Amino acid sequence: MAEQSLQLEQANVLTSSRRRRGHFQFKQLPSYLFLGAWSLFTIFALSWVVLASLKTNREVFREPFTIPAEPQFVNYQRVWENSQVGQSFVNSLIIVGLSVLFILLVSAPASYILSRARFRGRNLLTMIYIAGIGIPYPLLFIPLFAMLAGLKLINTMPGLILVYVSLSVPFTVYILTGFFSSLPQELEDSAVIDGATDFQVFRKIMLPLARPGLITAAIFNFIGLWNEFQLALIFIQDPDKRPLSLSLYALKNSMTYSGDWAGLFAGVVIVVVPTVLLFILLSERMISGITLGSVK
Amino acid sequence: MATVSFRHVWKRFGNTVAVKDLNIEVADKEFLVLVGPSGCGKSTSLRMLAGLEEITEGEILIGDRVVNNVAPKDRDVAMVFQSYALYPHMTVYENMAFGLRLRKTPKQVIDQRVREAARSLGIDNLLDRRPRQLSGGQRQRVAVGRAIVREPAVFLMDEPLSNLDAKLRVEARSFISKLHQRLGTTFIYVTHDQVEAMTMGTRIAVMSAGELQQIDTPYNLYHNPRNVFVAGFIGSPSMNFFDAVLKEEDGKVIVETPAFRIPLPPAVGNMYRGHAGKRVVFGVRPEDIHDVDYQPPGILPAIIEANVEVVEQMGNEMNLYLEEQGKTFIARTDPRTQARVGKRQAVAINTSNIHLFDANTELSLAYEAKQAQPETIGASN
Repeated sequence: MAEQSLQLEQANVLTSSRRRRGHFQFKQLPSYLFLGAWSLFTIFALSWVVLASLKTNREVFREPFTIPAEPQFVNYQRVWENSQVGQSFVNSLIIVGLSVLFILLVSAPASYILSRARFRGRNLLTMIYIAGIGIPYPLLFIPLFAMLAGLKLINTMPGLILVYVSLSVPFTVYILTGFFSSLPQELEDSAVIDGATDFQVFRKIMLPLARPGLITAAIFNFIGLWNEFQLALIFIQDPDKRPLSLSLYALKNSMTYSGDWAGLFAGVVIVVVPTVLLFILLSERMISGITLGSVK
Repeated sequence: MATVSFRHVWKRFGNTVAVKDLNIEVADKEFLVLVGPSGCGKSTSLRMLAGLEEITEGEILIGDRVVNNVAPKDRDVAMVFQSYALYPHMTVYENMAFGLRLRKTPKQVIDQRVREAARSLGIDNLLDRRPRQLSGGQRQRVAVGRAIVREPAVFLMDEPLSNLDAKLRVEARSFISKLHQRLGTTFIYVTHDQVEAMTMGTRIAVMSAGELQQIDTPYNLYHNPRNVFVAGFIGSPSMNFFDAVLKEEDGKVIVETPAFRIPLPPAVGNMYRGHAGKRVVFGVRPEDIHDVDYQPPGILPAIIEANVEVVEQMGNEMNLYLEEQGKTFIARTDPRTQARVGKRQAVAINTSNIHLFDANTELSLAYEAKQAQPETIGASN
């Protein structure tokens, strides 16, 4: 009897999850049209750049809306090798990769404590973190430069990573605090009774559950830092240490003399590809991450 | 296996007192239920015992060890939560094994215990599933299974059935009672549902506003409530209360309410004779008010009349909502009763089962006297 009703209930769970998929409704038409048009425009612009990057310079101007007669992969090779875009790509991977890693390493425990622990001054501390989001970077140029100079970290990748990490922590803490607060307290209680230490509760229960939040934070930071230009321009002078954004800028400047438009487009594609890939691979997780807190 | 003692335990959150001077001794292998309306401090008491809340004042002992400063993991307790608190990113197996793995139990032992517990709970086919793929009833069993594999000295349950639908709840009730018999471990169970408390507990502690009101067997709580709160909380529909004055006329003890006068039979009246002249609260359970035509044999009836306002046919019985002099009360009568809405109805109050409380202190006037009487029919365990 008990078994039977348990099975019945299980069947209900399955059908209701199947039923949840929504159907298209007429009143959604305007938003579908708008989003559709936007997507079309984005796809058009992106594919135009990709196509142009595979043309010869002559083709770019003569036949702007055709498919390249013969794909000029040599454009990529030229840019990658001659304009140090290749070196910069590797630099960017190192700088942004390590920055994101350190940002999460610092922000995740901080957010967990800020969202959960009970101590005097917690709200004030959270406020101070969040206030950090509102400070415009240009205000920080001179003090940061002075500090990094003091640390002898000007024109070094660790210096730039340090700046990136410290400036990204407030925003990341802000996102993650929301995540950790949305996780049920009973899970922690249960883990504590199961015998977990405070750190084990964090490491084995809360951190895995906050994964959608961590991924979201990682993607936002990755994209932001991959495209970051101002700070890199100030703290890196050496061409060998440039991240991709500075390289692209240099490429654009050199255009004045070379007129290599196809090469410039190839450079643009190289910059854009990683972020687009990231979106394609992780967009679903990211969306589930963004909505997790509100839906629950 | 262990006894549990609360000794003068207090819990304060800032200026709010959540638990007030709590004293409870739980015997080994007992099934103690903490019951009370929400906010009465029952969950807080359980959480203090588990080590999830600090004890402001007093001592809690598990066995003969004071556990005030013992970490939850070292208290040898397992807990089932209202939301079940299953770890969503782990399979059923991993959920059940988690506590043992943290304790560095050998792999074979973990595997054996998890599979054995799963088999006994009928969830051995679900071990590879994640919690979100389970129904409420299945989740509840996994939560219980997670507690069982730990083989704790004390089982703590915090409203484990309130997220189940009514039918499953009845099944789960007997399932947990059987589990208690099979494991022979001390169970402490928190609920706001007096039916759960009555059906499952070997003893019940009734709490209100942070204070222990009474702790006793289900039989005694029902038949000899210590105060008005317990009398009203235990039993459904709840006990009827009337403001009354206790009088003595010609050697007879009489309860006089604005609506009616009830002379008490000598055996009952003698218990209250010393309180004559006092303002009292007169309490009588709906099941002790009968249709005069269908009163059970052997009761000592006092007949009164009242207007019938609502009639609820329950099949096996009838609930009559009666009114007299602006005072409404409920009677649970024989289903054959001829009472009709809007008519007068004569009912018989079984005077041997009435309750009288002091109007000021709300304490039962005959608590000590009745406590001395042995439990009779239906006495539990």
